Amino acid sequence: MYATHITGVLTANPFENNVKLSLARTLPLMTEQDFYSMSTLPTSDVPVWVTHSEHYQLQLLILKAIEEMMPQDLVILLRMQMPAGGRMPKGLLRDHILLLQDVVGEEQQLIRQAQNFAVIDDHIIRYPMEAGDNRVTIRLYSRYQTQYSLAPILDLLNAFKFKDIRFEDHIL
Amino acid sequence: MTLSLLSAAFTPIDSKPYDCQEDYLKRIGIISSVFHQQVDWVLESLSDNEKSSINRHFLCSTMLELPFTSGQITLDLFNQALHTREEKLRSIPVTAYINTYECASWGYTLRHYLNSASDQEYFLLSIIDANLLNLSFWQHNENWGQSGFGVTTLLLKREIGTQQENIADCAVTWNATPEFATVIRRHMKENDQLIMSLPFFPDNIRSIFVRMLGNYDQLPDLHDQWGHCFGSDPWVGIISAGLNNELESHKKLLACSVALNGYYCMSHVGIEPNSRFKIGEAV
Repeated sequence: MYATHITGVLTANPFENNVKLSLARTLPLMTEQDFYSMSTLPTSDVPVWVTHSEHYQLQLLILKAIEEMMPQDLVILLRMQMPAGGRMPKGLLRDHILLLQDVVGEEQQLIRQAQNFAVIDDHIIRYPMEAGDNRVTIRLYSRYQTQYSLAPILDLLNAFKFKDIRFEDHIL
Repeated sequence: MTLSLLSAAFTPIDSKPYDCQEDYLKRIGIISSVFHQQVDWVLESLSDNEKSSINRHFLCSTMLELPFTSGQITLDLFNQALHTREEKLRSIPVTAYINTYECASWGYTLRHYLNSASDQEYFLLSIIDANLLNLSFWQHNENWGQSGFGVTTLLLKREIGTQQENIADCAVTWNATPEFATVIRRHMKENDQLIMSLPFFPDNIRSIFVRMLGNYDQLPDLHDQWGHCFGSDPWVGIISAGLNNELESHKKLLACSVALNGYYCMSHVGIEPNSRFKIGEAV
């Protein structure tokens, strides 16, 4: 199997001049126990750069960039944290995409099957209670050696203020 | 072709409040241990050779999200009960956790499996919902009445090379339950031999299904007994009917789930004459 990894860290709001609607809903807290339980959960000091809806918009653009480079019906694993803040857009719910909490286990199974597929290992946070480091790593797997033009993804990451952008090839 | 349900088990999880700070990890340990005993029981339907062909075990949930999202727990905790080499060999550890599609997560996961694991005959999936943080929203609310917590494990078999009837989609309106009832009604018009296994809801919401789907066969709504068990509902309905000898192997079922945010799924499921069902003691 041949793999290409592309990674970068979001360091600013990628849609900075847009008006933002606070549409995402969080869990209602009503009792003493609710507040106590929430206070036992860890929080981080990682900055929040995007709202839920901006995050989905960014993910749809990354998917579009991958689909420009690889076949349209390629299986794609996309890491997604819950709660989603509302209904996710239809573009993320398409047949060939699986949204899951941690991509690694299923990624290993698909590598074992020697299948062409892509992974978006997305650790962008949308809420201070989410764990993550705002890094996105895209891993493209192919049974045969393929010379992709990585331009659609690299252009996107650069345009949307990702830093520490790197890419490398691996043979598995 | 339909998928065959070879074995299925449900174990209720007691929702009694506890000191979540002190007993949190202990509680997960107990649930994890019972969960893997359930998986072992379900897998007894297979020979060792058949069992060794299974390389995936999907775990789905609706409401178990914040402990994962905040980084408080990881999937490893649900495999922690598999301590010894023998236990690890006997059981199949969880390989993926999917809660994104809420109650419809099992259907979207099944869709992925059918699309991407074309040479795999068996599909092992568990659904867990447990109010580990004692949050009142998850205990009871106007969207589904009383919640029912538990863990369900399913072992399904498919005929390789044939098309399985599995639909995973999303409502276009915010009245997801009546819209889903309409989607099911359209499906049942062409498949009126199916028996529907629907999500469990209190009377006021159940009436949507009663009124819109009253002309078609359906398994009893067990909300009064179990509460709303999230993605487990259609499977608890099938397990209960199986244990009561109310399922005939020539009849096919339509397992249906709908989520609060409008995601829905339905799948044609067959029963074998030797299909096994179990409801475990509450943990």
